[in-house]
Amino acid sequence: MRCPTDDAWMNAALGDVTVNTRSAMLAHERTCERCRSAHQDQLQLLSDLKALPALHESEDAFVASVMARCAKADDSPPEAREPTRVLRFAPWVASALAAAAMLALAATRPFEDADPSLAPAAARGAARIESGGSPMKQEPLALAELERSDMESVTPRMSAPVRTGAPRERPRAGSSRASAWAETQRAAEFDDTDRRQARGGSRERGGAAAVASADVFLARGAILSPLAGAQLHGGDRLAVRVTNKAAQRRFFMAFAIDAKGEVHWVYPAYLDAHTNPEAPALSARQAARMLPETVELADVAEGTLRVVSMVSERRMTVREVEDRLASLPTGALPHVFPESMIREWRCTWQRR
Amino acid sequence: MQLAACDSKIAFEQLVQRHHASVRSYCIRVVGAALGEDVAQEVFVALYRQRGSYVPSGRFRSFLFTVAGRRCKNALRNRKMQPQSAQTEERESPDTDSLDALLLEERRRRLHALVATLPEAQRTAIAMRFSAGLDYSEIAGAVGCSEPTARTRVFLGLTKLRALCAKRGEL
Repeated sequence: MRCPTDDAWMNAALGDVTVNTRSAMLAHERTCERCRSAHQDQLQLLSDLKALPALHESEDAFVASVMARCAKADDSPPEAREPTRVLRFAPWVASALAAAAMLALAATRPFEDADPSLAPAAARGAARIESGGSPMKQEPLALAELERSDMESVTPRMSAPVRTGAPRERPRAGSSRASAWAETQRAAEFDDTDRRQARGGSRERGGAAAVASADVFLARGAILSPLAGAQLHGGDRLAVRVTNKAAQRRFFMAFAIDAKGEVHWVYPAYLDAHTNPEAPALSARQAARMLPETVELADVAEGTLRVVSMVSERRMTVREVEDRLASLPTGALPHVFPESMIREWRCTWQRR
Repeated sequence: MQLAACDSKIAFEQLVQRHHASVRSYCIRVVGAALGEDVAQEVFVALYRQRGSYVPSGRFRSFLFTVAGRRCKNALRNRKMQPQSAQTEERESPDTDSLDALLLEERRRRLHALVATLPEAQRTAIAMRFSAGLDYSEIAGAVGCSEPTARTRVFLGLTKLRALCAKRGEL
């Protein structure tokens, strides 16, 4: 057999050749170095194309967001369709015809029949109608609808960077600075035994925390939206949703790294530079739930903002994370925290 | 979908769970990572709005990806953007840290950047075939062409990709 062409190898890789042809090509491949290389290249190309992109939201979070938007769609009127080309000009045609009819009537009727009070009355009526019609106000995607049971006690938490007292020694001062949050009410753990649900068999497939996750959302007022690619500014808040399907408890942390490399802590709250808060725990087999506080960032440098959530088997501390982040050379978080499940959302922080 | 059309939210939720991965992958490949997730959500919301008028006359996946294709096209047109590589952002997989894995990651990122340079028909066909896992008849139903045409678009797209990769020394 002569060497098949590259296109023939492509067809073979796509499975578009007959069994006999494929057998002959594979037999030839074993004896021909060039064809073996060509075939491997085709397979590699297809394999790379099939590689799935990184998904920023977990399945649960995505489905929950879709269902919340669908629930909102039930309440709002159906999407206005753009009128067809003929209908688009219908109002103008109707107006022109009405004007022509009015002119014709005016020309045929005596002037004394006209009642001058009618025109202002009609005008006033039109004005009332116009002023009475309020612009369609889009109802926000309520947090409560996404997690109705969990979001009943959402607490907005204002941020205020706390750098009081003598700052603790940092090996790489300036590379990482803690922003702490006021209104400190916070549970150290989110053990939620009342909400435990029996799940199916263990779906844990290796990895430190493959079945536990912490997803961060952008919360604007009552609107909840994905964080990836968003443009944030002062007043925007971050909401965190956690889940743990594992049989053991896990620990999570969430923080943001601004354009200057400063670390802004979301969970746990970091209020005092003399303290060293620990990662909150997620109880075993905990169903997905929103955490009870939304967090507003303060003193954020303009530019790229990396929001990171981290789930691990071991309880880490704020200081440990900051020390490791300070050694971060190029932003490769998974290499800095190899034992943790990292999720990262890149967005932009802008001044208003 | 027929159950969902009867206002069964559980059925619709299962529908989302079943198809979200392929729809998200497709949208991310076509419009980029920043917009892809949002467009994928819009696809399902549009499906939900249209559930009452759904007529099961063909394959559901073809119908779903017809909606997805239009939403992606609208997103690209409305935001006047060019398709982006889906992997411009750092991947989250923490399980490997070897040099080989990094190289593989980088090569895939460049490959998907090249996919974004293909003509729209070929790019769509390749995203449906490989990112969403549709077969040729489903692609044909989704984009409104014949099955051989869908096959040809995938083949031509791959041929161009292979040439581009060879030119840049990727293969």
